[in-house]
Amino acid sequence: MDMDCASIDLKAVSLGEASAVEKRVAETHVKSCGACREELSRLELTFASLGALRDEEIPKRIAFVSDQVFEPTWWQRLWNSGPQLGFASAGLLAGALVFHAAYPRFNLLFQHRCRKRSPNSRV
Amino acid sequence: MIFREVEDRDLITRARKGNVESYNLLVSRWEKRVFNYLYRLVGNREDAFDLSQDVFLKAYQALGKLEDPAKFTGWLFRIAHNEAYSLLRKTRLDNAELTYDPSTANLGGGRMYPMELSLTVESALAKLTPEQREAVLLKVFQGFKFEEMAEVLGIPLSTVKSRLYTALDLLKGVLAPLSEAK
Repeated sequence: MDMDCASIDLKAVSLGEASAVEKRVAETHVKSCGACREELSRLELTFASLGALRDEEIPKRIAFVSDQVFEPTWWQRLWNSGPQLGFASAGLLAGALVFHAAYPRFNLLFQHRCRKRSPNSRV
Repeated sequence: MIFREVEDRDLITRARKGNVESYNLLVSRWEKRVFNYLYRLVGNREDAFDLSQDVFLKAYQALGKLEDPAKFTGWLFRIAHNEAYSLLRKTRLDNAELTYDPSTANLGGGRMYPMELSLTVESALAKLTPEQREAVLLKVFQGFKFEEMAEVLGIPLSTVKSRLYTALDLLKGVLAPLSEAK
């Protein structure tokens, strides 16, 4: 190997990390350099061997759906949903308005019942 | 590949809103890759499976902190890396470095069957330091770019290259003669 060889990153080329220019320079160099050609060939053989490594099957599926721990609570679901939270707020507001509007009637009704149950209370 | 990335992003967005089904789909897509990465790193199936579960649990809990869903893969492997190393630190599984001896390079010699070759590769990988092995796993088996590896491992790019290149030199010494023999 001469100085040119040292400046060429054959590993980056074989790993697909070299730029187009670096790759072209390396290809040109390899054609005229036996040592680098052999080095590149050994790298390719190494990757071919690594490719023979079989993937291990996972012992069992990692499941989350069935696990209640991962289920968001009703409050989280509500909080995470803009429209739902909006409707809930509007519902609460409407309820408060209705109650406020109806309150005098409830008050009258309550007083009327109290008078009926205890006639002596007038005295 | 592009469609797959879009789908992953979509699943992440839905999972962030509490859609467990979407997250479950993400898990089913990535569990085998994460498991294999962890298995090759810690060298034990049970530990690798337990760690895989922890990784996906932590990823689910921290999904809201993932700023860019396009970086999900690197982010997930970063969690896996952290989990593996906390176990390795506990069990002190710092294997001896592979010292290449030319006299034993041609393990078994002659033609090797795929299963044999797979076992030889496994054995050669096991003799690398965990750091070197992880660099090979991320680059060769998981297809990360150098920059992505630097992010996953939390180290400078120059260190990534140095670890990987040293590992490749060691593996080359053992594995290239095997392929030549084939």
